[in-house]
Amino acid sequence: MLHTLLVLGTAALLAARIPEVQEKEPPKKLPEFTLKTVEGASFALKYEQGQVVVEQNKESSKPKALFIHFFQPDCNLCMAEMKALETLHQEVSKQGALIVGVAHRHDEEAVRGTREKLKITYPLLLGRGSELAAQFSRGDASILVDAQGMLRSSQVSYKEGEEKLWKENIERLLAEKDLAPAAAKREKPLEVGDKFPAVKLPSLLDGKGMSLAVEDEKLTFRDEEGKVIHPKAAVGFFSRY
Amino acid sequence: MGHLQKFHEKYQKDGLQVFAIGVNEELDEIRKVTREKKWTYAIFNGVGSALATQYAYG
Repeated sequence: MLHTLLVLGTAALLAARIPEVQEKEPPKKLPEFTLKTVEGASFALKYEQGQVVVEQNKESSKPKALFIHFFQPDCNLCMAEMKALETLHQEVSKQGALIVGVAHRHDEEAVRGTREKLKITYPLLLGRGSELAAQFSRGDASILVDAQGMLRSSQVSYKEGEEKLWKENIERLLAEKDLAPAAAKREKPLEVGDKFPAVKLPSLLDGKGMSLAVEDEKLTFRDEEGKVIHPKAAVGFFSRY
Repeated sequence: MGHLQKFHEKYQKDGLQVFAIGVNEELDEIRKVTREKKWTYAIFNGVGSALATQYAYG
């Protein structure tokens, strides 16, 4: 488990990073890249005025959410994940989300075979030897980035049913408006004195337990019965399993 | 996270609020451990939120 402990004040915030990760972390922002699709067309991701722009088949689009799956055609989990992603693609592509697969170890023929076998219609890119694959692939791995190219979540491997969470996360990005400017700025580590940002989070425990929000510039916890707690100080812990 | 439970029990009465935010996809693991260990401090779902990428480095 990788974690960072933050000590938060109600008005000011003190942060102390505890470096526990020795391996190289993927970048927080998706870099620009150009790759070939399995059909031989060019697929380019660029930034224009801080926004992600995707150019493919001589057409450009500005996805609000971009889900990238790094896969291998000889990996059973990858195949299961790709089937789930194809279903998800059918559901969210018209809303402004883009799902892309990047083959990071295999050649065109193997990828084409996979596409035909699974009837994949979202773009499959040939990423073997690419900088993108080197930075983000961990075998079977996925990342979700927002309209500014910022990494919003990532995962390694796949468990059946996880696509429900992906859909929720994608829909959350599609619904985001006011968070976009903040997202574009968050490349620097947290500074002492930074205010806790506007936020509204549900309890993790199936909707039971406290909710967290910033109301009237106060860190506000609300229990199941609606009782409001304004703590004198708070300790926050961000957990990645 | 177990240490935070002790911290929570010791200082809650003094006005300290301890909380955790899950920031990746494997939230079921966190739910499972939370129930097994009977942790009582607040735990939130922060997957995909801007907050997670602003504050979680690990």
